[in-house]
Amino acid sequence: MIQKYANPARFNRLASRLMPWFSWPAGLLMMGALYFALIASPADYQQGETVRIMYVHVPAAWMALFVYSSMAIASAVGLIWKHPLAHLSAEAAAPIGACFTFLCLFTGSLWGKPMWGTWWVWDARLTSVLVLFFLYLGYMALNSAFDDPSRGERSAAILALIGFVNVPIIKFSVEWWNTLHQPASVVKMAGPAIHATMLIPLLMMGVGFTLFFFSVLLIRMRALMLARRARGLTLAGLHDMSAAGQQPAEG
Amino acid sequence: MQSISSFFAMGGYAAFIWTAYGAGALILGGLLVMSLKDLRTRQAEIAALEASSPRRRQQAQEAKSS
Repeated sequence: MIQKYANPARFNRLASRLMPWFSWPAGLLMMGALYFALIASPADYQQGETVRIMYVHVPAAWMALFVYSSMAIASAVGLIWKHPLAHLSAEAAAPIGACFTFLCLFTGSLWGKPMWGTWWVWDARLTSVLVLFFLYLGYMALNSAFDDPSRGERSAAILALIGFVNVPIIKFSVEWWNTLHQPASVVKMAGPAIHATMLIPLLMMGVGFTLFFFSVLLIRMRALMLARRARGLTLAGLHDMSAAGQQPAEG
Repeated sequence: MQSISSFFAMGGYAAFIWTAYGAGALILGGLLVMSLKDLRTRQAEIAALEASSPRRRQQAQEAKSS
């Protein structure tokens, strides 16, 4: 059933229909989150105004893990069931995940300097997130390293699956090892240990980032499908010409 | 006026907070713009390929009308 969306024209139609349902709420939620994050929420009693960095840093970290997990699932689906859209969606997601991971590291550094007194420490949490960033870059490099695109996407999919062990390491790094990084406040067994005035902008930004991810994912998947089709058309064009006894044009 | 300047001062942490939000806007905005530009380039490329091959153009039109 899902197989039929591998057809580019059908996928294009579906993507255009879905697009406004992702893009508009994404924009509105992020705008609303900015209002609550910068104006309506209070300063923290320990961290002062710097707590506002959290409303970018934490949702970006969630996305870094969420996007990587989706890529690992898509890669498994691609390797096992060979659904044509699976590798394509992982390929489209990788640069978005890399952007969120970089944003997480960058804002974390800006938060660490005034609160911890250092831009960076080589502890488990920060190091494992840096490894995640390199996994994204490695995935993208490997994906485009082969002349045969299908070999590239299979190799990259295997890397995505192996690298998935890093995701639980990131999540539990603040509990397993001593670290400067604070433990989770939102996703806890006993419920969130954070006041509603701070939870609201955090969750709004989180949902906004998620919808933003899906909007950009659809755009990138459409572009990748067109690129794949252009490759097919070029090959078919060469084939037509050689069948007609012509030489393909230079350039 | 006082409240606006204190808003931008962010309790003395302006450089850290505004850089963080600026980075967010720049990175996510840049990603969106680059992805849209790439899509436009691909669309133009496909259109050119289809226009250059009459047989393919005919097929594309048939596919569109069906």
